[in-house]
Amino acid sequence: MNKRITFTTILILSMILLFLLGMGLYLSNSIAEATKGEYLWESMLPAEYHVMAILDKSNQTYDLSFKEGLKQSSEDYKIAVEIIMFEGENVEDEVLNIMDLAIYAKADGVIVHAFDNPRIINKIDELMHLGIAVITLNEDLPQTDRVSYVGVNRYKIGLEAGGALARATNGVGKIAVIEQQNYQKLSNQQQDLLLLGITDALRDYPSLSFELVRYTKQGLLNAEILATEIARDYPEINGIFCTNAENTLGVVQVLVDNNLVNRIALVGYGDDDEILGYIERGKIIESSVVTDYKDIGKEALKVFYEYKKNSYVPSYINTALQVIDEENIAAYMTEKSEAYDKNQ
Amino acid sequence: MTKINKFSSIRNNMIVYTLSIIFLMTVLSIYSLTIMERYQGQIEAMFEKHIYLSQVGSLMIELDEDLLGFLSSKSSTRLNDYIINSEKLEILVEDAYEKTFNAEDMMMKNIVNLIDAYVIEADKAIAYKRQRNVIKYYEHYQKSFKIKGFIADYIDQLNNRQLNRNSVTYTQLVRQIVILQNITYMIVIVLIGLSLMIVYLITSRMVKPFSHLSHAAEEIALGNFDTEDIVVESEDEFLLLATAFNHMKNSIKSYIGEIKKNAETEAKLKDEQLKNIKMEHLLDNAKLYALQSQINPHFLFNTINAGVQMSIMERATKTSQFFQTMASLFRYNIQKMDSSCTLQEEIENIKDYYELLKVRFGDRIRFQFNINSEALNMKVPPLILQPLVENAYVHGLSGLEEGGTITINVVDEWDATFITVKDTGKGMTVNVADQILNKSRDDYEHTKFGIGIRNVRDRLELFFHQSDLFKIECEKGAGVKIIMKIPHMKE
Repeated sequence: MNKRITFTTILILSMILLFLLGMGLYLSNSIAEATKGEYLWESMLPAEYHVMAILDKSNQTYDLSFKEGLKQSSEDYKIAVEIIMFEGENVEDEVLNIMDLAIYAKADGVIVHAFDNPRIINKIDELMHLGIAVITLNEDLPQTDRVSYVGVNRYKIGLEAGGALARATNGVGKIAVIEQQNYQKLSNQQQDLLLLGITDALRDYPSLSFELVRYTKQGLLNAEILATEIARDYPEINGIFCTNAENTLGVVQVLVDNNLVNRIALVGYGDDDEILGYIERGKIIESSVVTDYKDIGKEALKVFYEYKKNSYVPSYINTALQVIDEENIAAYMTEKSEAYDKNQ
Repeated sequence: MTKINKFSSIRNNMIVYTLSIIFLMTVLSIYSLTIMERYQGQIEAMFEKHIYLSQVGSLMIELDEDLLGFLSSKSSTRLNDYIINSEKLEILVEDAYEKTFNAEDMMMKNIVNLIDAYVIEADKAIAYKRQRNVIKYYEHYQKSFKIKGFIADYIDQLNNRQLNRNSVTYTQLVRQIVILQNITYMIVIVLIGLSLMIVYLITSRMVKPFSHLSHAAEEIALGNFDTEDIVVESEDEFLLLATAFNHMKNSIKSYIGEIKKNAETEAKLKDEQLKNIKMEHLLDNAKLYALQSQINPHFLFNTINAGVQMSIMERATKTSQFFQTMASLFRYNIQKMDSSCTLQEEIENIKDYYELLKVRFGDRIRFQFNINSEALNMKVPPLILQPLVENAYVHGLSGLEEGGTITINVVDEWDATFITVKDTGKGMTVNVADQILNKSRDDYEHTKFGIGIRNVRDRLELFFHQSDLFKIECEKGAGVKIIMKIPHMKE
């Protein structure tokens, strides 16, 4: 055999050997890394703060979009977020219990789905007193020492919903609102803001009046019962606004089953695929008010971080709101699918 | 003397090759050990957190039991146990958390902080118990109990989380073990390949020079010394061996060359001697021929001299002249038999011969001489012209009634002198001429035809050590022309 061929073969075999050794060690190393658990972020940096997010399991606000917003800000500001969901009948005790946990676990901050309740108000103040920054969702609770409230402006929701209903009914008729009631009745202030928004929106439509508000409890069936009652007892009602996605889909079933699609215009809430599908196909759901949940998550952590760094932050942060109808449904769906692909 | 590079001696090469193979085997062993160690570490890591959490959980239960025991019985033993377990727990969780890199770190941080909070609340409960403040100690005990619940929850969560991850890791581990096994097989195959290549390199490097040497030795044994020198690229003992072998081969080749040269010189010398003997023999033949044709020259010479004396006494001038010429001819013949002479002497002899013929045949035989005088001093073998002239007369002209002319030309050119003897006689065919010239010297004894011509030719060639000095041009009925080339001898 030629000497050159021999040496070339030895060289090639040596390179293959090095490659295989490297690959073997790399693989064994990756196994060792697997036991360590996934890093919070790609940057593999440690967290600077620990925030507990105390959220209502039944509330669709805290779905994937909201968590995506949290994740994004958590990475941006190096905040470890511990999400603890509460559910059950005695939600106030649950919330208080988890807030105690935050105290004992020495969390740096708490994002809480708050209720307008004296015990919760006191607990918020206690946490703030212990140096744990509290950001409220759901309820503003400006009377507490909380850092900030992050959420949608209910007056604005009312305004948008009222406008959408006026367009759907051509400004003539009577409208009803089916409102979700989580665990307890909403505060008067909140209720007033939403209804005030609707009333203000209808001011330009003298032939269209705001007829009644109905409150649902948990579950889809409840909304269906309410919608059926409205259709039966108030035949003059030709427009309904639902304040959450579950209720919207429940009302859709009533309208379809009772052949009321052309008689009652429905303005829904949320951007569930089913709701968007109904808007896209037309006629059943006229439009839907969509809150940017991701923005709520993002802003909540952002405001916590800014508070820890500057101690001065706005007390009230409103997140974006959008009405999706036949005209902008295509663009919205494209945008949503692109965002989904990006996250994947 | 060829020097070897001490770093590339066979011994060092063998050491390097052996070390290479040992190195490769060591690499394989270290690799296998590293992989095994990592897997061992991996398996340990999979369970170490469980074990740790289980220890924390057990201690928490013991601590809570001790606390409850003290609060319910105020037993100092329970308090003592509480303090011991409390210290144990503190030591156990001391380094459990440093920074939050992942969700598990975060949970571990919570557990550590919760344990701190538990101990604080428990201590307060104990302190209030000692102060007999029932409401307060109960309140703090409630808090510690609540915290204990949180800790247990976190331990469960962490255990579940790790169990889930470990099950995924185990699946991954099994899959990766299969891949690693395949990689290890490939590494073993590559290592075997590499080792074989190294062994091949060693053996070929050692065997190749031996093979060349044995082939060259075989060739030399068959007497072929013209094989190429053995080339060894390495600077080791093989180079010394090859150089010595090449040197030996070239020395033997050179000795054999010298012996051959000596043998050739000796053979040449013997050949020369043989030629000389043959020339002498030819001369003897010529002498014999002369004697035969002239009976007894000495007797005749003396007789002719007596005839000269008698003619002078009788005042027969022409007869005297005739005899003098004849005497001169015989004298020349006798004197010049065994030495060289000049061309002029040869011409003079022919002129004498002509004078005799003129007496016998009058004007029937005519001679013409065209002599370039510059060539007359040329050294030639004696009696080269007379046999030719005799032949021309005897075989060419003697049978012709009208006689003929014999022309002798001597032309001098830059490298040779050309002597031409031409007659106008009967001539002969080319075949006959070829027969005369091609008969070997040994045939002299058997035929007398052409003996003079061949004798002249042979002597010429022997004298000048050259062939092709003699040429016959002839045609039947048109006379014969013999051309002799006398090369100019270099001084």
